[in-house]
Amino acid sequence: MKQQTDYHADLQAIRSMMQRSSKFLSLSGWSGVMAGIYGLLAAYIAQQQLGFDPTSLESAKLSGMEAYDALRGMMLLAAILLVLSIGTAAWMAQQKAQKLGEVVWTAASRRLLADLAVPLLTGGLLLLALAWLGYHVLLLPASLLFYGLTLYQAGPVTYTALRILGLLNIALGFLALLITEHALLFWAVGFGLLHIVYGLFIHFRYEK
Amino acid sequence: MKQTLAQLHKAFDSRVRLGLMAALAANPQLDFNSLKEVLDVTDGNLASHLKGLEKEGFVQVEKSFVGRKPNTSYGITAAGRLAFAAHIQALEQLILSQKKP
Repeated sequence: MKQQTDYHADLQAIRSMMQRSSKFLSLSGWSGVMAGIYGLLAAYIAQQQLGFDPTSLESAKLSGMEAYDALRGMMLLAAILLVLSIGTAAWMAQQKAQKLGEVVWTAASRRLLADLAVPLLTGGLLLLALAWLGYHVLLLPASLLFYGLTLYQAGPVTYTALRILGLLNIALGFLALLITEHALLFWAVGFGLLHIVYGLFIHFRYEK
Repeated sequence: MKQTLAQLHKAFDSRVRLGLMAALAANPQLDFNSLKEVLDVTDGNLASHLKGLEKEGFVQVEKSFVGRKPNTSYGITAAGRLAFAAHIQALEQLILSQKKP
């Protein structure tokens, strides 16, 4: 007859297998912190260097070149931010998985990516369309809203704390929509500060 | 005690099969390679366990094509889910009953 420890080990094996096969936990906390730092830097550059102000962009729509240049700079900045953040996250996930003797490219991570692609691409295309049509005042709120939705969607497949992060970003998106003059500040909180807080939380809670 | 032991399903005797059922219970569908990866077993080993569980009616096989490559994915059946839940409950009960002197 089997011993108690065997039954215990059986249950433990079941639990770990269900988690390992269905959840993607390789996402490193530090990559969240890094993404937050990039986000804060981007917000700073947008304000100091490009003089980004969504409300003035709106009114300056007709005056032409200056507003256009500022917008182009912003788009470039956003693209760099996106590539840097995703690149860092992917690289750190690879490192973390390697350390734990696991692989990054599993059924769970494939499903996560497929799930995230829909809200993220929808948001990205919407942002391009808004910029194209001249609704500049909506750019920051929309980016927060769709990013929040994406994170909320990712929650069940990875750390549940991501759901809360998503909801907070959605709330900030609405604030940015209603209080336009501080939109960049809300954006910096969502993409900068919250990332850092989340990253530290994951690190000290799960990676210590 | 005897009662609970009898509730441990024979089909879930090995650790590989427990892992297999756990992975299938937690995912809507998994293909052969994903299962192999997560369980860390050989092709032959996995195939024979899958066959056994399929015979019990706990696992269903779905064959399809991805482009031209055949792709076999596996899912848990309703009967399989029930039996697995009962098995886990029996395990928990055994642990509880052994804790008491």
